[in-house]
Amino acid sequence: MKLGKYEMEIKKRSKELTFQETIQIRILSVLMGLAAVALIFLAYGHNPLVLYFDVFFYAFFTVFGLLSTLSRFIPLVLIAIGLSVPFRAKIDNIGAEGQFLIGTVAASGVALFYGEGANPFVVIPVMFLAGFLAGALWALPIAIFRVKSQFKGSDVVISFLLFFPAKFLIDYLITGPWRDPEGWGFPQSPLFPESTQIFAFPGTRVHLTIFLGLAAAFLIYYFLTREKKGIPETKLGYEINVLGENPEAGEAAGMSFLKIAIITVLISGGLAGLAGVGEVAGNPNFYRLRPELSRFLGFTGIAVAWLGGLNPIGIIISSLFFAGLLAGGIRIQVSGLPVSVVDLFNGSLLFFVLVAEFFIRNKIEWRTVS
Amino acid sequence: MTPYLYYCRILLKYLANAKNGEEKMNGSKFYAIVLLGIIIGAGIGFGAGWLMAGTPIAGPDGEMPTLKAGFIYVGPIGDFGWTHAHDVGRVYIDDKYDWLDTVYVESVDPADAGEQIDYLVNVEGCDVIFTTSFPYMDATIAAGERHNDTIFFHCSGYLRSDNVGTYFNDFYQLYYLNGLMAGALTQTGKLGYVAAFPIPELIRHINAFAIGANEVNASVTTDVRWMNTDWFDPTTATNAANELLSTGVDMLAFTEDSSAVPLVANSTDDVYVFSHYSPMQLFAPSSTISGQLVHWDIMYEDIIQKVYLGQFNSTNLADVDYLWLLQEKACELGGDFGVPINPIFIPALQAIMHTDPVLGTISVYDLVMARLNQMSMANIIYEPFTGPMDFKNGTEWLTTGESADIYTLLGMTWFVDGVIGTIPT
Repeated sequence: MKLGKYEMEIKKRSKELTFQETIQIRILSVLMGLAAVALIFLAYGHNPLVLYFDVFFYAFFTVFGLLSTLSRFIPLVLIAIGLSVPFRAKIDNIGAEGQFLIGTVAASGVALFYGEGANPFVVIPVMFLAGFLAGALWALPIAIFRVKSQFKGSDVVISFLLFFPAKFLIDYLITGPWRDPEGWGFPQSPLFPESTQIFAFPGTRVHLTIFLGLAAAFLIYYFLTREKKGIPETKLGYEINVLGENPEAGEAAGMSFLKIAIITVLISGGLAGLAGVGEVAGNPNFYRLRPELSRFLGFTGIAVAWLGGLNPIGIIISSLFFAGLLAGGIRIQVSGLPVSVVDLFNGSLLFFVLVAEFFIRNKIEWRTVS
Repeated sequence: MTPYLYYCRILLKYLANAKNGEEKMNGSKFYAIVLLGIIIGAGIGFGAGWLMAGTPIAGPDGEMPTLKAGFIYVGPIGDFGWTHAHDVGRVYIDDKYDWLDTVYVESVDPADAGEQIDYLVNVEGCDVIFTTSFPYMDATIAAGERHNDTIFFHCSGYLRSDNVGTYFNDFYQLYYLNGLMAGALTQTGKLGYVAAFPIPELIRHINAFAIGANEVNASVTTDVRWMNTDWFDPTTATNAANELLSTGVDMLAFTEDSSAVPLVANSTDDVYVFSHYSPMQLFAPSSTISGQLVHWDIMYEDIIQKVYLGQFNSTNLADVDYLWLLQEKACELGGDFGVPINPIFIPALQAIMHTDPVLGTISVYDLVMARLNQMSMANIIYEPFTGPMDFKNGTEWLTTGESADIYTLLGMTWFVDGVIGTIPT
């Protein structure tokens, strides 16, 4: 492509970047995202630096802000950790939102029909199990389509489209069989019995599921991503990496892509389902099945997973970062900017994060045309 | 701007690793660029802030006690419907009273409502919180327990507590009046209603619309299309309206927060519409017959004055339920403020005669005005939901002369006779 007296060419990087270099590119792209949004703040007559300071100070250094950051961190980290697993095997599960919603449905079913008077130490684990199984089941077709179907990108299509049946199932349940008989006809399920409400720290929206998220991060690290000199230490982790790089080579070496695909999407769907259980039964704003459960955290989780470099520790940090952005958005709003600017702010950063992936794999060469 | 662009170019160049093809990143160069960026950015930022800083707003008189009110909105304030109308009310009281300061948060997800309420109370220091949508009900009640000294008002809910009151402005009388006009003016005998969600409020309004239409023309039917997507969804609303038109409908009423349905009517001949919530007549000047308008300003003023004077405090709100209708003047008939019926349609309405058992033979125009008057009086002498009235399946609901009480209407989940279409169950 020619630009004035320069010529631009996009080339694949010939050698893998080191961990440090990829981190640098990611941080730079986030900074560029902030710079791009700064232009919009300037156009509205606000000082972007003051706003950014305000957003981050509120999200991480005030008690209220930090608590609301953490409450968003919980579902985000579970979803993103889960997504990182199939992403490593180059299986694009972009439908975590659907798996998340199915998890909420499964948990609600258990809570509404078996929750009354049950022992919380029994029923809550059962809810998590149901959520995990439902989310995993919802994700299963992705693996089959990815491996067996003849066209590229079928995993993207099927995972995205499975979001809609999940959403409509919730709509059907809360306007139909599960509608709250005492809810004056409004579309929502009855309140969950107290025994099924996951313990939240008093006065906050931070519930015990946060430990589940951290445990999931550790387990994924220990069983899948633990590396020694760049080579995963576990057999499963190794097979995921090899098949992700080159399925044909892996199959020739006796690995089964279908098996790995199924394992990875089951993990990702299951963790998204767990996030759904935590959100519907742990977040004190819910405790009932409602249409507003779908807040597209499943889609945000995609960028979170990539920003974290598909690495559990990186994902914990990037989840905190995005949770902080979501929570800190309120500071932008109360400064008098319209809410669409907050969406633009979050959206632009997601975009720049994904652009970073492009720069990690490719480079742009400039030449002066003589 | 120039140094800023220069900085971006350095970054780009750096990312691209320039023309010498050098793959290895130089750590100190990287940090130098970041540092340089921060310095330049800070310079631009503070410079811009310096230039753009306006004159500080004069604070209220120090002698006067002040009040800060926080509003939680469900949609964007530019929706030209529900949230816009609430914000008009907020701006009105904010401008009118020196002792009042307001702050709002838009497009609040009901899942975040509790958090945003805590934010408004703890960080912004609000004394009164208005939560302006039904899904915030549980969060508002819970917040009331957390913040004992704060006063809460929740719009359209049914739960109250010592420091949580409720308020609502209902339109069913207006829909009934709209129905009278629609029933008189329809050529095909088919009316259509585009409805966002199957909740009691909308069911009540659809029924009122059908009751009005059937009063002047017993053979008229009202068909309903549920959107079930969003309160603001122009695309679905447009599709639903077109679907109704294809069945022969020529009068459209709706409950959705965009101007989609008036625009459909405006672009189709011989199809007429009743504007909803905001003055939407301007979108369909020759197709809008009338409509419903809201005045949250009047209600907010009443509430905030009573709070300021101490009549409402954080212990006595358990029975405070504002349910205002026409008589409190918090809603208005028409597609534009001060225009109850579009003048284009007045001659036609005056030409259609109707025989009423009490009012005798009068024109539909006079009937609408008489009913408006009857329902606007301090002592309401006309109730649209008065028997004899049947359920949709034909069994009797109200006997002759019996009127439905407001609590029955608030929990309405059934259609009356004359409405075709079903309520999702």
